[in-house]
Amino acid sequence: MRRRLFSLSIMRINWLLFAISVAVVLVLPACQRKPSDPGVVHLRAWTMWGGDEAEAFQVVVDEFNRTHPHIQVHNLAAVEDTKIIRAIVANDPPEIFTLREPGYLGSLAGNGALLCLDDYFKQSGLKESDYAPGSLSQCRYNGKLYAMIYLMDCFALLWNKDAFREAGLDPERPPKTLSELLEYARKLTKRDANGRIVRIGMMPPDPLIIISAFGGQFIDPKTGMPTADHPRNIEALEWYQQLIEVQGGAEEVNAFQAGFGQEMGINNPFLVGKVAMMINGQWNPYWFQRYGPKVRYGAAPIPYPDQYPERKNPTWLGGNIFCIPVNCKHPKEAWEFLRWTQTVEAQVLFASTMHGVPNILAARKERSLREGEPWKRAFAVFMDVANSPNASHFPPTPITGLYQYEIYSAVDFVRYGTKTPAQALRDVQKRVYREMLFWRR
Amino acid sequence: MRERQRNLQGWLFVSPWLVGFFLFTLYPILASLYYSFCDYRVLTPPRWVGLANYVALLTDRDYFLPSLWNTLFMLIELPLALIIGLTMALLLNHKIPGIGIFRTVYYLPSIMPVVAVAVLWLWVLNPQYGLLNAVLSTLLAPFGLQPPGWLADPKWSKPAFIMMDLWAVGGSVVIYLASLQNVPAHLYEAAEIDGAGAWHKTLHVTLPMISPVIFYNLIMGVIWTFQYFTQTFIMTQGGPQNSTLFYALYLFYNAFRDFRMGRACAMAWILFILTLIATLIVFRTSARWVYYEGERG
Amino acid sequence: MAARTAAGGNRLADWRQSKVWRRRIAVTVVYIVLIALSISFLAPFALMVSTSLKTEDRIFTETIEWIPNPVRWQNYAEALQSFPFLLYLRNTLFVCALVVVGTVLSSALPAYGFARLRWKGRDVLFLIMLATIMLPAQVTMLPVFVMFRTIGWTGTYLPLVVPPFFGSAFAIFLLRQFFLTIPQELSDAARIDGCSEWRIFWQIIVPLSVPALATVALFAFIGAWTDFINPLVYLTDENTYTLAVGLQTFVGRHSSEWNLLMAAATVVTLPLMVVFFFTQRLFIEGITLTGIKG
Repeated sequence: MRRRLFSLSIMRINWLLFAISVAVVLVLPACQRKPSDPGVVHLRAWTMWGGDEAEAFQVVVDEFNRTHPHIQVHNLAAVEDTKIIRAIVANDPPEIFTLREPGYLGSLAGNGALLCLDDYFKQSGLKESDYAPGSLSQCRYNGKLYAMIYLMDCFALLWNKDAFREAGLDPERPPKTLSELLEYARKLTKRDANGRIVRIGMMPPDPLIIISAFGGQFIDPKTGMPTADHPRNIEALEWYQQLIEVQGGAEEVNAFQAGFGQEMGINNPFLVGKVAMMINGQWNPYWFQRYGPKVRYGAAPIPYPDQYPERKNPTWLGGNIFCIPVNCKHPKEAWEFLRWTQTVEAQVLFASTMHGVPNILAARKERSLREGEPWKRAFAVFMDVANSPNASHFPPTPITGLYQYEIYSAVDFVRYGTKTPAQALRDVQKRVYREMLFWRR
Repeated sequence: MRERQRNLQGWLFVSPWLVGFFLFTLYPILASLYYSFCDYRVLTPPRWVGLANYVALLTDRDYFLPSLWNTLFMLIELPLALIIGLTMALLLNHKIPGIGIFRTVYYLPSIMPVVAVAVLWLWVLNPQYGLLNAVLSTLLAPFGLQPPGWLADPKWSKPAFIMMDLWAVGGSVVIYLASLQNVPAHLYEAAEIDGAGAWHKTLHVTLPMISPVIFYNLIMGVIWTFQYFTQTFIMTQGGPQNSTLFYALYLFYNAFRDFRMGRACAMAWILFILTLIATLIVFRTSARWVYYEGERG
Repeated sequence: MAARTAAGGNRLADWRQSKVWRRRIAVTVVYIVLIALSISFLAPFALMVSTSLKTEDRIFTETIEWIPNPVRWQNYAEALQSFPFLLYLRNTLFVCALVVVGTVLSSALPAYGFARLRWKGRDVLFLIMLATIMLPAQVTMLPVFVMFRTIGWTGTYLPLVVPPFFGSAFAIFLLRQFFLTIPQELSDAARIDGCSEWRIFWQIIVPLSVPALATVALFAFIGAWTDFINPLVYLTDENTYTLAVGLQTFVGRHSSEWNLLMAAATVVTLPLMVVFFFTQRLFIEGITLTGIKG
């Protein structure tokens, strides 16, 4: 009796094991079969764009693949920088990748993760003089070229004309100076009967933009050491603090911002009237056209600090930074793709789909980018602002990622009034200075 | 001979674990101790820097110490979970019709994958359109108060996490429930004969009898709190104002974002020592309040 | 005299009745509390399903609309498009299956060694093993990562599925406790019959321990299913992602498209709910077993 019981159980176990092994085989992920054509090199590109923007980049990739049959680029869309860094740390990076946060460039290059492109650049026939100011400098670290830029971003003020009219402001006259901007922000902030914000006058901008508008400084160009507590930086944060205060303080503004919908869609807070003014990038006119064609808005250069009229037309430059990892299996082919992106055709093609500013000067003259549909007039404002002598970007350093993160947390402290701007920036300075010394050692 | 054979057999049987122990426990512990004294940037070989990592961490008032404090703050959750879990278990211990349905309902949140819980609660906690504030604002409106910004507000972000975790308290409820059902009925009868009411019975019979389970849950809770990661990684990435930068998250950032493997290992070792101390404290005090049936008399 | 007894009887009846009433009130209160709690436990689920069916313009409304109008099933199709659920499900099941097999096989053997054999060094080793349960995963995680990186296993499933084949301290402990409850006479009798320890283990102990093994298997399964940090660190190719990491990536990409996010969350939750309803008893028994024996 007992014996039979045992054998039964053993049978059951054998069945169980059998079932499990069948299951394993069934769900065994198919081994990745590499496309077998021997003459073709396949490149993985991990890029930051998602949604419509991913489609815009796909157009470019398709064009490259069509004209370069021996190389096939496969785009993986909407990849976060941290995922790329994890892949680099795990020693399995893609052949080409973008950095959403160009600040990581220095840290990656400094840690020896990126392929140096100087030799490739020299042999390619590209000239420095072809490039817009502030473009190649975003790709350099310690004097060496570690990336290629494919279109630039720049920032300007966008305002909702209906909100202006409602608040009794001239809808055709945007604020010219930063103190005017504060005044406008206060007037444009609207509350409901319970005192809750329903429209914010000025969306809190990226503090780095404000710092650069004040003519602030992040790195001493002579010594290469951080200057986080530069007097102008402190002034910028003091202005920033005022901006939050005139709109009701950090708690209220934060809570209101948490209710914002997807920017790339019909719930864009500017389009649904939750935001009256904002400093934002050149991609917006096209989005507005697409997701809120009825919204009346204007675009103008970012207001400048009253006390520094020489800082007129300030703007902040960004860029689509493409890198090749140092342990890339096909560096030559990866470079071929990057080289192609610097041709005028490729620049115009991408600019017309992604709505970025070309970094090759010749391509900026292209008329089709400025003329045609009504939104292109606003886009042209951005293109002009990008040429401003007061355009700047964050200098590439080995600690840029940390540096920017520090500034953002400092701004957080300032927003909540936990630290004064001077205090917060001095703390930043102490930390980043120490970190920089650590790096130099 | 037979003795040696028997010993050999024992070692053979435990060998899978033993190999794993050396490969995945002992060696890594020692290796991380070594790395913790190095400047180790992953892509380049480690370089000995002595105590630099530890000094940098222990004097870091902006990230490391706040991350430690944030994690310690989360320990509040343990007594809360204990009280709520026990109360719910006591409620569910009634033999009334339909109790099975309630048990299932309370248990459901705890089997939901953590990632999905995080996504769902991002929406529940949304200050403007979330479920929680929809309820709270109607409750608070008569007093002229506004509900907090939860994850958008550094003062409320940690309580928000605690609330979310308490929603999934069902796992421990089941454990308490089972242990309640294991309390011998004759003890209650004896207490009733002595004239004890429901409150007294709970206090003097139930709690002592299930104290080992409480003790176990407490220890695992401490360890679990120090490893709190997935939720913050998905929901806040440590913000606002580093108020949810928990220990495990900051460790992860050091290792997999900032190329500072050495410092991350130093953090791991500090964590190791802290857990050791915490466990020792719980063990030491446990003698006073944990009751083991086997030790009686 | 008679009156007195009558009065006494009345009092007794009163007392009895009041006790019945008290119990009724108590039960009602318990029900009210239970129902109130249930509502607060279920409401987030309801919100999840409801939001997952809303159109983009009905998400942000002043008061919460519980019944979506119009209902948009398309959200699920869209969510599943950028979130290859079936692929991730298959990957997850693959990892889970190997982890389960590995954990059960490699934990049962040491558990047998600790529970039913007497040998030198056993108790010391057992104590060491118990101590490792308390070890925070972070202490070992980084050097193990470096180790796998050096031998080129990062970017593959190997770091996820190989370590379970070297036993899990927790599973060993559970199984050992269970093996201890099996009468020693069974083994003795078999030994007299000339059975080797291996055969005793395989033909006597294992068949008798099916419930405990199933519990360990279930726990290994849940652990692997919900594991987040290991797939996050080791898997680089998105086609190899498990559900947990896949969902996190999805969140990053659709950060405020709540209808799609909720659809994805629902889809990820559903399989576990189904598994739970079929294995409810095993589930709860398993949880209680681990809770109590600990």
